[in-house]
Amino acid sequence: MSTILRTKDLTKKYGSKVVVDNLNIEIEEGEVFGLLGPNGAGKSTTMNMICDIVRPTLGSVEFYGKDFKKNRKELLSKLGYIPQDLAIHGRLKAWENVELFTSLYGIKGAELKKRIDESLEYVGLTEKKNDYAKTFSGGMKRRLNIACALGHHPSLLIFDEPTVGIDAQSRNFIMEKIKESNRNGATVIYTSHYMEEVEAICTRIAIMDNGKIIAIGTVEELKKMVVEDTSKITLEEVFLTLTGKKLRDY
Amino acid sequence: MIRYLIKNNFKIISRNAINILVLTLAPIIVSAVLISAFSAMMEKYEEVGAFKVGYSCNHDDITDQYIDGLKSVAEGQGISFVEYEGTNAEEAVADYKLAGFVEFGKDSYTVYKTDENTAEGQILEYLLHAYYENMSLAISEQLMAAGSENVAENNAKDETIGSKMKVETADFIPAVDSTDYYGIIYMIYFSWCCIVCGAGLFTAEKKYGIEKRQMVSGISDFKEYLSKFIPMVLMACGGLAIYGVLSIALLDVHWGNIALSALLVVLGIMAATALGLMVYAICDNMVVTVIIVFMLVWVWGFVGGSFETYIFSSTSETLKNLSPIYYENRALVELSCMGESDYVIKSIICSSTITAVCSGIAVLAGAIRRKGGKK
Repeated sequence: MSTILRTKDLTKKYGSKVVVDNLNIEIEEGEVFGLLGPNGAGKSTTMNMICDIVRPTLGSVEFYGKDFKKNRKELLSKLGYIPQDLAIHGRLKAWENVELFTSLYGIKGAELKKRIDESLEYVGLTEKKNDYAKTFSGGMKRRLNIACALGHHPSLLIFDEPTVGIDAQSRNFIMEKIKESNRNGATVIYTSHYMEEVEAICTRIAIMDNGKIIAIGTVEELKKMVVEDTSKITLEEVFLTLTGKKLRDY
Repeated sequence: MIRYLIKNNFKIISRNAINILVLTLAPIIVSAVLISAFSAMMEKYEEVGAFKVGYSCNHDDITDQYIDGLKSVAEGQGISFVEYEGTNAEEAVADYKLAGFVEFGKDSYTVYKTDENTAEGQILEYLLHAYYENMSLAISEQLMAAGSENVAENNAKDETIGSKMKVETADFIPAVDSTDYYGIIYMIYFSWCCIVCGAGLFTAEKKYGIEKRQMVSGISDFKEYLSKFIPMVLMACGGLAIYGVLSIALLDVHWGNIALSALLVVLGIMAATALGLMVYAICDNMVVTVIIVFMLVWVWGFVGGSFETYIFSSTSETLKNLSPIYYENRALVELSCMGESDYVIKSIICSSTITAVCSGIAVLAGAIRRKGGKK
């Protein structure tokens, strides 16, 4: 497998506060990479720097071996970002939302129509394509949120807590679709506070705290950092052991 | 493809009922109320017939010349100027039953008005102001044209100035009624408030993180700007076009040259949209943007004739000239009641300049804000 994404000494400071501190991670093509951390650990800022939403104070991001700054337009077209917020317009119909975000990548005409239908079918919203997004349930909005990031066929999908506030069925549907996308060749970066989700789908996990990676590896490797017998411990217990039980009031 | 973004942004804006309220119903209601409220005042102005005004002056070549020109213009408007040499102004007004009196100094004049003849007094003031304004303009043009020619030549040219005034200022008093005035003025006023069109779109983009998603697509700052600017202008034009039709059908407003008036309104809307987008790009907060833009529009409207008619307003010409709304108001009102206006070109230049400058700043400010990594 080749490295699809690499961060080099990635740092973000807001004033004197260091939010992300010299982050060096490599993500291999075809893996599902989990990024865990308590609130304020720097996960979202890291994601935002990878997506070029926030400019790093120091360091750089390489994507397919190319510097992000120098090949911005080309590299962004290979990236699908599914934000934690429901980044869809309530006053647009489902197909119009997908059209709006897919067309930003230069797709037009018959090809655009095809991609809209594909994306909506992928998330099971074909029958609701003519309904306004504001009439959707939380789960349907989450699925539409995902559909809006798939139309341009990205090779790297970034999911920022995609299952917040939805029922078990919708969550299960989304997890299955992430696995399916990965089977179809997409590399996935995934953040969530639901440890069982991360444990179920991620091939490798990094745990962040105070802007730094404090542990990285497969689920088994992370568990072995805490106890020898990995069957006696859950990922959540590993997480709490590594990051502590103190409340994080950010 | 930016056209899909423009199309969908337009759908978002047009599906917001508040826009119809602000751009169509509000101007109809406000102008209907003001037309009714001020009809008596404007009728009084319209009903004023011929009247007599006294004056005194220090006779010299230049003063005699411009007073001759002024008397000729005033005659065309039914105002007779009669000289009362060495008489006290107040006594002359009382003794000879004059509607007003003017004392011409070397480089100034003083107007005396009476409580019984308020409308006549305002017409007199307006006439004098318009006459002097045009005379100054003509003298400036003459001096500029003269270039490095000698003083003797300039003095010779001054003789032509007086005769030129007679032609240029003869039609200068617009006889507009409250229906046309307020019907027109409030389309302009609300067109400058069109930033509210985009409020729903901007709020949703910020609240739901949609702008982040657009940034991830790599869309350029200029395209991003156009994707807001064009739908907002289209929406405002659509809403105010409905108002325009309703103003004719329901309020009986006369627009004069409709094509030219429509062009001025569209350019005004573009300027207002660019201004709103610039303020938003700088302060990054829709509530603050609306407050700043509305305050600015209120001040511009206040000095530009939106509340008090610019015809009767005592606001100085310098202040009026600082208001883009004034140029638009005056051009449209004069197009309505005279069919032509010297302010058309001024209004076009003013609106186009605001659009270009504000658009440039908005794109630049948006780019700086994004690249600064504040989000």
